[in-house]
Amino acid sequence: MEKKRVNLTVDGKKVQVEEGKLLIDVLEELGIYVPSLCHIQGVGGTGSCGLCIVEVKGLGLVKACETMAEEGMVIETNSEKIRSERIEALKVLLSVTKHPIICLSCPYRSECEDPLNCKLGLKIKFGCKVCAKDGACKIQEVVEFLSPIPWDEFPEIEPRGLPVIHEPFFVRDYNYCVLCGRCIISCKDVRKEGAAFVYLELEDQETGKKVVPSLKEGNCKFCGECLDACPTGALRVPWEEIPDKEVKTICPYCGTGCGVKVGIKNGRIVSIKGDQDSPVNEGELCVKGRFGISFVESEERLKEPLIKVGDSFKPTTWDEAISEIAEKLSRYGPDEVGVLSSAKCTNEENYVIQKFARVVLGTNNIDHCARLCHSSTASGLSMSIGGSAMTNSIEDVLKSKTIVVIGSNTTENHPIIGLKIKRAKEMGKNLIVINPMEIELAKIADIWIRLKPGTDVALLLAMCKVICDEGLADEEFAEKCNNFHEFKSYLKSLSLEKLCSIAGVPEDAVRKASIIYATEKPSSIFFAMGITQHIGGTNNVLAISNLALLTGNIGKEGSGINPLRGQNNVQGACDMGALPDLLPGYIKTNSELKQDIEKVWGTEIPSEPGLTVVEMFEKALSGKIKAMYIIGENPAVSDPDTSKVEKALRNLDFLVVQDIFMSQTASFAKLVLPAASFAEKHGTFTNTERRVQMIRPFKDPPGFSKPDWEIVCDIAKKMGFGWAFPFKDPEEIFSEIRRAVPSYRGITYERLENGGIQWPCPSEDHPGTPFLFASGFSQGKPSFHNVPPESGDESQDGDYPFILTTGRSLFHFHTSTMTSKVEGIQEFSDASTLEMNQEDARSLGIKDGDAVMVESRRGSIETKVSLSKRVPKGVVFLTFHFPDVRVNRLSSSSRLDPISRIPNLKVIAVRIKPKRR
Amino acid sequence: MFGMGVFLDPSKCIGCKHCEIACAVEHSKEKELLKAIAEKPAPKNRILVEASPESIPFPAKCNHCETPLCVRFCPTGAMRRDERSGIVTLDESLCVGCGMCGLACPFGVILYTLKGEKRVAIKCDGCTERIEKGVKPACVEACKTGALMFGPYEEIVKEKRIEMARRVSPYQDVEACYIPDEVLSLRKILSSMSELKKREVQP
Repeated sequence: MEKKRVNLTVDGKKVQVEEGKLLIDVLEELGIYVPSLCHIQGVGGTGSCGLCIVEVKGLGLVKACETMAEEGMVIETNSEKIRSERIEALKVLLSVTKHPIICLSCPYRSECEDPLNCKLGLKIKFGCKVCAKDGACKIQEVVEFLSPIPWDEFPEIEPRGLPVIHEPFFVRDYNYCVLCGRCIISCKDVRKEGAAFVYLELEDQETGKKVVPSLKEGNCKFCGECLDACPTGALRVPWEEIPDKEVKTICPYCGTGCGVKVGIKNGRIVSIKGDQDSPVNEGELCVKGRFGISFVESEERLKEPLIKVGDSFKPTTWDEAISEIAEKLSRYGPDEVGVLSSAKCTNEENYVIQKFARVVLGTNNIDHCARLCHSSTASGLSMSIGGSAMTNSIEDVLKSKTIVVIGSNTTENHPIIGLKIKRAKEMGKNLIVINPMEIELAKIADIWIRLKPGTDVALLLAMCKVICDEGLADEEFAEKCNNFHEFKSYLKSLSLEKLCSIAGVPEDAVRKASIIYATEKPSSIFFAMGITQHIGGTNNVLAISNLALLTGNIGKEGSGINPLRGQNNVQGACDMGALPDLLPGYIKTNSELKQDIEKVWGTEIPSEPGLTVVEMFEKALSGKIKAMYIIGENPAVSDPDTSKVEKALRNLDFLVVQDIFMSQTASFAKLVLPAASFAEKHGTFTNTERRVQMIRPFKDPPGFSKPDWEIVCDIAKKMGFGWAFPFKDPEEIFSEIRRAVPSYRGITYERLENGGIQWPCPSEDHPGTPFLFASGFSQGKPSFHNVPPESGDESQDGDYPFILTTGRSLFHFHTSTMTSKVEGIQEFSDASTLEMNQEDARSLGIKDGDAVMVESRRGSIETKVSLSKRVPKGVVFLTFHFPDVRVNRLSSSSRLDPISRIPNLKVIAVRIKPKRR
Repeated sequence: MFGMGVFLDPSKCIGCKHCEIACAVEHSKEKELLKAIAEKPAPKNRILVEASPESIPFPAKCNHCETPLCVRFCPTGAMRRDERSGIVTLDESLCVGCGMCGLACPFGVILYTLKGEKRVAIKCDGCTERIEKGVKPACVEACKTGALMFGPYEEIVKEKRIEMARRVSPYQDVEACYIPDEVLSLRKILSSMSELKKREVQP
């Protein structure tokens, strides 16, 4: 809808602007500087600074942040009268808030270099020259604009003299606070958190002492939004400086794919900010993106190739390492080698790696961590609708009327998507959360269904049944799908009561949720590991697509089935065919279409599907796989049943690990190759919403490390396959990708310079596809599947009475090889505790902080207990981040989903024993 | 204009802190001293008697300013001034416990506490409940020396004028006619407040 426009006269010029906007926002858009400290563009403000005074004919002097633009307004923004009023306002503001003015008023400010050697002969304790925000401070900007300011008229200001509060990533120094409230507004209105508090002295309940609580205790997520909002040096990051240049790149953590602007000065990272131009995050970041990128500068980075001599590693040269690898790898037959690619590498690298496995090694034994996260999505969705990615965009959250979040702790694992869901909820959308844990979204949801872990199919079938029984199904749409009538009669044969009792949920909540989902359309479903990492993972995904197909919630804006991918480039790695059964562009290795790829590559491709990651380790254990090349993965921590994985890794004849850090897996290797991280190479990442985005290097690789594609190409050349790997830079690889993968055909580096493009993008004039299936289904009719309600998940019994479920915490990422290198994030390592319901703990006689042994049928680990209300009775929760608490010693690698071969990581039967002291 | 309210005469304060206790009791659940002591969390007083380094006490409480800085700097609109009664009130449901009002308040009489899991500000609520019942505010009732007075402004200043008149009367010791330092500092504050008022943009 086109907004009405109004005519204004600003400083004698006639302009047209949108109606219903604040004057300050309007003037800002017109490029007219209005001094203001307390207003956040487009969001709002407290109006406390009083600096944004402008003159409106008829109204006199008004605050621009409290006046709406109206038809026919005549506005004066900069006259002598306004200036003097602004100076008065500044005087009041600074004297009331006690912001130091010594340096601000100093005539030598521009030439001052050393505050200790003050030209006025003063002892400077507080002032611009000792403040880290010097040069980036908004007050300085205002003073500059209003100068000359009659400083002698200002009252003497005694700074507050409050202590500086040190938080994990930044400091709070209220001597510079001007009480603008921007931090609180940005926390509350932008991030929907409401954690930031200014300066609080709380009385300790027990000792009666006054303490200043840390933000850590105030549920702060440390997203850093308030740091960007703070106009002064009150909130600042100690290491931040004004950068020489800023490089736009993509955050290397989760699949959201947020744009990041990295500021560089003298070859070091001096600032990290969200990219305002990125449509994904619009300038917002979470703690990992904002503070977690400095791992690339860690001293622990691998700098040169290492070769194992005896029990220790010795540095070696690239030439030696590569000849060694080429010589060893050519010894083994195609069935004796396995390659693990990485969802952390770029599209180009994944393409090269899988090509290396298929062309040079002649094997389809190529896999990556998608096996452990969304392989069931891939198999499930390709069976039902054809396709294996988010059907819609992240942006669609705000366009749908009902949002179902199932098996995803979005606010912790995909914080920026979680933020958008929170915003949607605040806009009045319906939010249904299905999760056994009381996650943050569950607290704000309209309906929260707390099901038993592993009973998703039963619940989803119950929802389908309610929709069918109430006659709310979109018959017209469903008739167009295969198997609809069979599915309907299958639903009839089920009993709602029984389904609900399997899931352990109240019937009326399911009924309400189903009715909302089916009637308040468009409705979208978001899901993640809670759905996929089950023995019935594919069935779970099929049940989700049943629900979406039944209500016609697909192929429309704001609807869809949206798997949230975990790694920054797991979507891209799958697109590039780093999978044992799929070639680039999701072409089955045993299908006719394979010829297209063979034509591009100029060689034959083995048609037998290869081994998955879990199977590779099994075969390695039995001695069938003799050599492995592992790139950027850490299976010794992340894969199920790690004691078995470790044995398998030991059992290998030859293991090459290519990584940026010495990971736990690398310690088993014969050769360790140092790779360049995302910070040191060109390439593209594809995020969860299929958006192909460009990354750009902002520093040099440490030591002798090289980009992964270069290393792989070097090995291929050494093995005599130079003809297949003639690439000189990632762009050349990308142009081959464009030839091999039809949905990438229209994407070029040139186009990516101006922002990401969502595939499918078949031609260069195609704008990209924000949601799939808008004009029918590409791979035939979608189909319903009669999935059985029982999951076959590992059941708890008398011996193993608890269900252990695993997940991530906001502050860490996967096996924490990256996040553990970041100062500040280390302070949040208490996430490795076992979360347990208070009632369960009481019955076992366990107190908060007690050490316990957690035992499963496969192994046991020791950890500490933290009591929490988040988990229901009978369920315990552990994160898998920390090598010292290897939760995957407990999980099983033999209980796989029969279709996708995904292991069950979400339902593990365990028993808990208090450890004797 | 000032309505009914609590007014201070710091020169009369002897720092007995009876007002603090009465205030805390008034804001307890049971409203009885002996029961209030046992309550958890302990009830909080909103009036605080602080002494200068020279041991001169000053009963600090919210003065329900006419142009309150706490309202000006509150980012959520939780702090408001009721135009009719002139009482500055706090809406706990809107309060995010950010601490801005506490930093802004020139008297330093806004404290914070945990309400469940939420941090909220606490401040003098003007004892509106008691006033509706026709009882004096708790602190005024507790004050034994007349340092805290309750009533319409005119009456109170009239009392003060009479007091001054009594002091300057030739039948009294002329030396007693002085203006205490505390009053001077209060005057300073009030004059800075009125300066602020001037800053408000005139339409």
